[in-house]
Amino acid sequence: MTTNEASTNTLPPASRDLELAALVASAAVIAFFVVYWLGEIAEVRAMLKLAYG
Amino acid sequence: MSLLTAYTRTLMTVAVIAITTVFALSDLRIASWEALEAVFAWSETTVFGYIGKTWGAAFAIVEALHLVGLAVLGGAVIIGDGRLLGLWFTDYSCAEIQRGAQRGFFWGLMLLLGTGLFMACGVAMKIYYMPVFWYKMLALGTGILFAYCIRKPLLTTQPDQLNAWTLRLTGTASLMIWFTVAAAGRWIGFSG
Amino acid sequence: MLNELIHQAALWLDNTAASTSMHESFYVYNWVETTHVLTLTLSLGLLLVIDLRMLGLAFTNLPATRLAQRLQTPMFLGFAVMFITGMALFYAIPVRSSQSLWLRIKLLLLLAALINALVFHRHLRNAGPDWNNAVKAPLSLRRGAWMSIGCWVGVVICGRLIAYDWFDCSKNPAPLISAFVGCINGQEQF
Repeated sequence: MTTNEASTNTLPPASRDLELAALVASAAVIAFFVVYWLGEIAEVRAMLKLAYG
Repeated sequence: MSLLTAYTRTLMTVAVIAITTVFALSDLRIASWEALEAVFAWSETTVFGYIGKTWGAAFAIVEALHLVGLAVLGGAVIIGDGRLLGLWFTDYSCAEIQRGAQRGFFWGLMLLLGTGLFMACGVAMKIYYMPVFWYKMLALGTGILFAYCIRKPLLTTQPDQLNAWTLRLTGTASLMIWFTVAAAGRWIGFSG
Repeated sequence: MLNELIHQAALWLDNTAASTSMHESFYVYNWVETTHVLTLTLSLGLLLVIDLRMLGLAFTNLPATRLAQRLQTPMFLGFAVMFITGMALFYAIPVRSSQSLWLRIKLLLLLAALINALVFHRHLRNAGPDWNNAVKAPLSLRRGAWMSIGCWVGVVICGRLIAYDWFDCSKNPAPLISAFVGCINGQEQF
């Protein structure tokens, strides 16, 4: 296999459930960690501003 | 087939996310944290806690082995997620790469957990008050659940029929989780 | 004589403004160190995967030489980042680092790992393609893989121990250690 371009419509029900669960979990993880790291970066920037103006 | 039986895993995933969010935003989080203080205080009195606090050399060597565990786990994650993102080994299926990386991932994780537990006992009350430690634990828990309840089953069923974007998102999420675990771990060392 | 030269060079580096700025900057120093440690996953992580493949403990479903070839470029990229950040960490604290027992042992182990890697590659060329799909590599390559794991675990341990000051010159270590690490003027400077 070289690509994974197949449509989800052809999947058996169990795989469709797995794929949807993966999409939900991945989206939640990415959203959370983007917010977390942006928060961390903002915090460091504020500290640097406080220290160096 | 009812929605409940057709999408059991999806519904469970949504439930876990919802419960974690409610827990994080409610007073229950503070109450649990306070309740855990006794456990952390006790862990410093265990044999691990005693060795960790008394013998600096033992603590340092375990720290180094923790890094070796990180390297083993990191190598397995980078190869597996690199394949999910379509960056390399594209002439092999995601399932084959997952199968090859599985043992390294498991033993790397075991080494990380074993050495991490030892180290935590040595500095339990210090890390108890560090927000970054709890973020690391959240990321670690998410990482283990994601690896064994989402990523592995996804790749051991019929990954060649899956949508490429599902695989890419799964790979990105996995890399983000393990990067956060490692970076937060390093930051614990700087926060003392 | 050599230790005197190393000490002079370290003092010179220590007196540069960038060195002082770096070790006094909480964020810059910690970010460089974090990058150094996290890149372990790319450099050592991929190297260990190759070693474990040779021992039949990982990726046994992939041909060994193909796996090693594919992982080589990102692995070297990781080692390049580790080398650059390692040099930067040394530059931030040159005098203490140049007289560190652990850094000196680490450098010796790195040299041993490099020699082992060269010997390993010679064995890899001489081994031919017949074993490529076998679960375990031939004995000479397995021995090289164990040597590599041993050296690199030692490198990581010594790297971690550099942070500890048990054998620093300011602690007046035993004469043998003092001679090995080249204690000259103690540790008044960083």
